[in-house]
Amino acid sequence: MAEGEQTRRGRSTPAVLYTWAGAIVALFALSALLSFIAVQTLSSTGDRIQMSTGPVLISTQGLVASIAEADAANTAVFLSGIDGGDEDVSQRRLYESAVARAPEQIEDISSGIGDNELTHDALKDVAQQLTAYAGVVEQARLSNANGLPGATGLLTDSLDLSGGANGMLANANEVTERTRNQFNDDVNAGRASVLIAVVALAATLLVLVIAQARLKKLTHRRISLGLVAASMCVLILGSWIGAAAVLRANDLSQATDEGFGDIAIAAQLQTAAFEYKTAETNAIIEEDASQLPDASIIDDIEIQLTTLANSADSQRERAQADAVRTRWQSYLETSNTIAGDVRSGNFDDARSLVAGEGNQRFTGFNTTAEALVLANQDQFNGSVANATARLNQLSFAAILLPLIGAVAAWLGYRPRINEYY
Amino acid sequence: MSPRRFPPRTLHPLHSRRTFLAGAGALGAGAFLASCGASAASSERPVDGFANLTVVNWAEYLPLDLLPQITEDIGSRTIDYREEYVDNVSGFDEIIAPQLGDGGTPNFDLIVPTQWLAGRMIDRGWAEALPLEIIPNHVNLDPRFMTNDFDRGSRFQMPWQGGMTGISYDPAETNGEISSIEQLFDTTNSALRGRVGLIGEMREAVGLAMLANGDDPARPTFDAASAGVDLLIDLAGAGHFQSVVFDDFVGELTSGRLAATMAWSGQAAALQLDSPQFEFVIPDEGAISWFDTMVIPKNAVAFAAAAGWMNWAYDPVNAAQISAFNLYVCPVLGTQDALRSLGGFEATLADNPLIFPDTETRNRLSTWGSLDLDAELEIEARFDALTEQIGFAN
Repeated sequence: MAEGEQTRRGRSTPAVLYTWAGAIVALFALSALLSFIAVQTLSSTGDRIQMSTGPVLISTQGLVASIAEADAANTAVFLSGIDGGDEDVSQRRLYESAVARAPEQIEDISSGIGDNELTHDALKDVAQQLTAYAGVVEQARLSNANGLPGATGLLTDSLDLSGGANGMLANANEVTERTRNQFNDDVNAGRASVLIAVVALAATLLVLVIAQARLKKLTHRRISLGLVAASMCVLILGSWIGAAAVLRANDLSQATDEGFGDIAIAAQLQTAAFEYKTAETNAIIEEDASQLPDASIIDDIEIQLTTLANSADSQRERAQADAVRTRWQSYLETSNTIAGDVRSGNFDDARSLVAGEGNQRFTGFNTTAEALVLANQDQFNGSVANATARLNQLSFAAILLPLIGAVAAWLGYRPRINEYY
Repeated sequence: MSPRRFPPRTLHPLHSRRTFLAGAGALGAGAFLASCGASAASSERPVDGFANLTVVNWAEYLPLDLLPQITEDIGSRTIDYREEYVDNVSGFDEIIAPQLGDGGTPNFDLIVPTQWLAGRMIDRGWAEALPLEIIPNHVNLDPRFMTNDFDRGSRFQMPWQGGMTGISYDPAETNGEISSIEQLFDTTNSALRGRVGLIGEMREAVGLAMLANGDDPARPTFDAASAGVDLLIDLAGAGHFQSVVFDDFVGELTSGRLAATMAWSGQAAALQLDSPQFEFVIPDEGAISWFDTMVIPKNAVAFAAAAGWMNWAYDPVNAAQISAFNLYVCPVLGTQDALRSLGGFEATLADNPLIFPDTETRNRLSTWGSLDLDAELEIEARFDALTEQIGFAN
């Protein structure tokens, strides 16, 4: 074949049409790939939030509540058993139940945090401290029952292991913080890939529009139904991905603000309250009024209670937040009496109050705060489930719609018999 | 036991637009719209349903003359109060499961199972989350009732009354005092042979047997619970039990058919008021504590009225009237003061350890812990077979 004829055939209308059709199909293939990657990225991070990050956040707060409950109950058991008194068996059972629950929560957290070594390390510390804590509690109990010296020192050690600066609560909070960062990363993941996919789809649509114009010029066809169908496929897929990504982001934002936000506040509240109670207990067992909790802790707790109430987004949540405040104030009433007893050197009355009414009221506060966390867990899970549902069938669509579009474009753009010769 | 049948539930096969769209096509506009239209899932049910309230409770748990006052206070049109809850087995099999098992609308709005069964209802998603915004008196719930593993903080149920299962007996009929389970189970005591009542709730009867064996019902193992059932089977084989009893133990004792029985504290205390010769004791080995708790079933029609009922019951003044009537353990803070302010007989109840257990009493109580469900079902099956063998009181 002569070179001139080859060039002429290469530039012939059918050849140009085939080239355009091939390019469009290639563009569809690229769009399908990028769309699929985007959807998969969103989907996998959504799954991680639903199956891992979310449950870890909740279990960590459950662990904090269990530690607080165990410690409050153990303190009551110890103080009731001082000087040959009868140990409070019901509080001992509560302690045992809380201590038995904690390893299960640690296991739940461990199975959900994936391969993040630093989080595993913090969790391992909590597990080791829990074992040590249970041991020290038993030692303190035995010493207390036998009137041995050093029993109160052992109780102080147990308090340090649970609520101290490097204690279980601090490590649990570290797990929370790391998981929260992971959650934020997961929420933001996939944005770039969605943007790339949408740009690719927009480019494909632009090429299809140009192709329609070229086709009209080359063949005098008024409109190619194939190209129109292909354009519709691109338009649907692009809108679908865009809408799903935006709505998913809204759902996750709602999960963050209305679910996790309240969980985080409740966690801070529980930790601060626990810190308060630990200081109170220390003041009694050391018989030292200077160790009574600082007023600034109460101020912090008040701020958190107010934040919790203000962040309520329904009447029910507000009622729950109000219940937490009422339970806290009820505990604080007893605590003020205890502080008065400590200041006036009336330690027997103080011990009796801490072991009885004070402990009960603190338990009321702690479980009410925990109930609020659990209610927000439902809200959090609901929003995350909605975010995941936004992507239903989108992976399938990301392959199928470009495929249909490519076939339609090919059929719409290919030369027709006897159209040009 | 008298099984009661409820009218068949009306089925409402709802096909919402959303579910239709979601299922309409594997791909395309339907799925696209479904993904855009998903609304935030919420566990919060809107507060509505002040319609006719239906409450299913155990017998003799509420003074019925309070019903008009309750109806007025909570704003319900009517209250259909049914004392049809006889025991937890029939309660589950004949009332709860048939009504709630397929996600339909129950024909009752409030039910009062024992705490372990409430736990199962919650676990199966058969209980509504409590609308705390219309139950402000929830803050009066005694924290001791809020630490259950099945519902931390009491989000799905509010205890109606607690109780203890101990021993009730007539000293004139038992050849003297009975202060322990060992004495209750003493087959050499001829006065007791064939004249002892076995309480029909597995966790209480087996729990007491476990205490007799030196095991802890608060932390049951399958082996320990099995040993408890074995002990009861041996006693039944020796002809020790007269019958299986529930709240009918009172009639069986007063008629003289029973000399001694496992008994519920409230009714035993009420019996003592009428017939002081009867004793109720927490055995030396300990007693079993439990509580019956108010649950709003999923999809209850009079949802808000049911919550109103709960709120009413948690007003200490109202709780005082309930406790003064049934003499069971009161879960409402402030009720002691309310009873004292009433004076007279009611005021004496404020210091009754059967209604407000002190530390010493609480230290002698165990609440049945949780067993693996399969293990628990096996123990239940063995216990049910035993009760069938012994027979129920007439």
